Amino acid sequence: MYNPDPDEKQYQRELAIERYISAYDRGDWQGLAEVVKQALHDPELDRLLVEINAALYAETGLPLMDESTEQVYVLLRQHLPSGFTFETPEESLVTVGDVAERLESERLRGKPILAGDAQANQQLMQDKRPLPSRITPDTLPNLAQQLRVVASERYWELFRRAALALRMSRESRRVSLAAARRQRGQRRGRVTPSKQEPPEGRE
Amino acid sequence: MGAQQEQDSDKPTIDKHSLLCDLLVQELPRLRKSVAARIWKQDLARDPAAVSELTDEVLQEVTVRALANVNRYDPRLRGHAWLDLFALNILHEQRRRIYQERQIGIATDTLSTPSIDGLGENPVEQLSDRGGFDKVQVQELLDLARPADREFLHARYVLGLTPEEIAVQSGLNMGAVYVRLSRARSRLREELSKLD
Repeated sequence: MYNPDPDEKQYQRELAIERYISAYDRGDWQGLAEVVKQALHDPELDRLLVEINAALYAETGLPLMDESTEQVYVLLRQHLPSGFTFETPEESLVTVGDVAERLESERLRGKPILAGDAQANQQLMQDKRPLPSRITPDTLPNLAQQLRVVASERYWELFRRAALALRMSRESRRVSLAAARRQRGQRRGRVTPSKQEPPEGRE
Repeated sequence: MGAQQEQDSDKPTIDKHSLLCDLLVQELPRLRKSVAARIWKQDLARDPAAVSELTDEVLQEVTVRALANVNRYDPRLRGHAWLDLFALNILHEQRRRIYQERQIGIATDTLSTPSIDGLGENPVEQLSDRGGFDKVQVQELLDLARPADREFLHARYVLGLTPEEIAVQSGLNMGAVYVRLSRARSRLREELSKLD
């Protein structure tokens, strides 16, 4: 069985990426689709395409896009209302990695960040620890010490603001989901007899 | 027994629904960027608000189609790529519609991807070859490049740094490095063709 060596695989990936960017520039979406199909079976290529798409988006100069998942939840609720279980408190917890990812996406959209801070941020992206309940300018130095990455004061202030924004966004989503659940419950109570399944034994 | 069988046959569908919901929550926000960039690049919408609106429409349709095809969803495949294929189909349909409305021909639909595999006759294509290339020839080629492009091409093809290493050095992410390298090669190709 032919098993390409890692160098060969990487070479093929680079060729695929070249085809992808070339197809994007020409508006050849069939060409894009061919590379995306390759990525279905290649996690590394899939990951690289996500990053490349982010870079291509940054090139457009379009304004910041709201990346909250609130809209996605609205869509899913609309089209698959039965597909959700109740949301546990853990699902709304913000982790260190979540905040770092948000800062990274802001950096890709052009928000300046020092090279050393960018490196520190990359390290924190893997960190799944939940954030402390309070992050204030006074508690920041403690947090920095716990996380054990070296970064500037400016970075930690950006980190604090991003953490607050993420928490607020998730809290508002949690509240709107709860409201949607309550509304659904109320609507079920109002179903008219004609819409109901006939009880067993009746035709 | 009948009820048990019914319950068992429901299990895989419910699991797939649940997995697909998780996938959509995770990937749709990331897919927004690629959809918006394609819309902008192809001039399907001409201002940021219109891009955002069309992006939302496309993602809504991606959600509908993905859920309608839940039985075809294979969790072993890369989810982002799976959803992106829906997005590309939908964008293709949107492009037809919009171009027809603007009464522009869709010549680009039949473009085939040029081959960039292996060695080409164009020296720039040889930069993509991982095999031995003459460093003096590469340097001569790079002299044609713009200064900003030269820096990246030099790092890649003279110093032999990987895109990952270039990303660390430059502070850019990997995706941005690949795009920069690709653009640099494209521009170099154009410069070379002017000499012919």
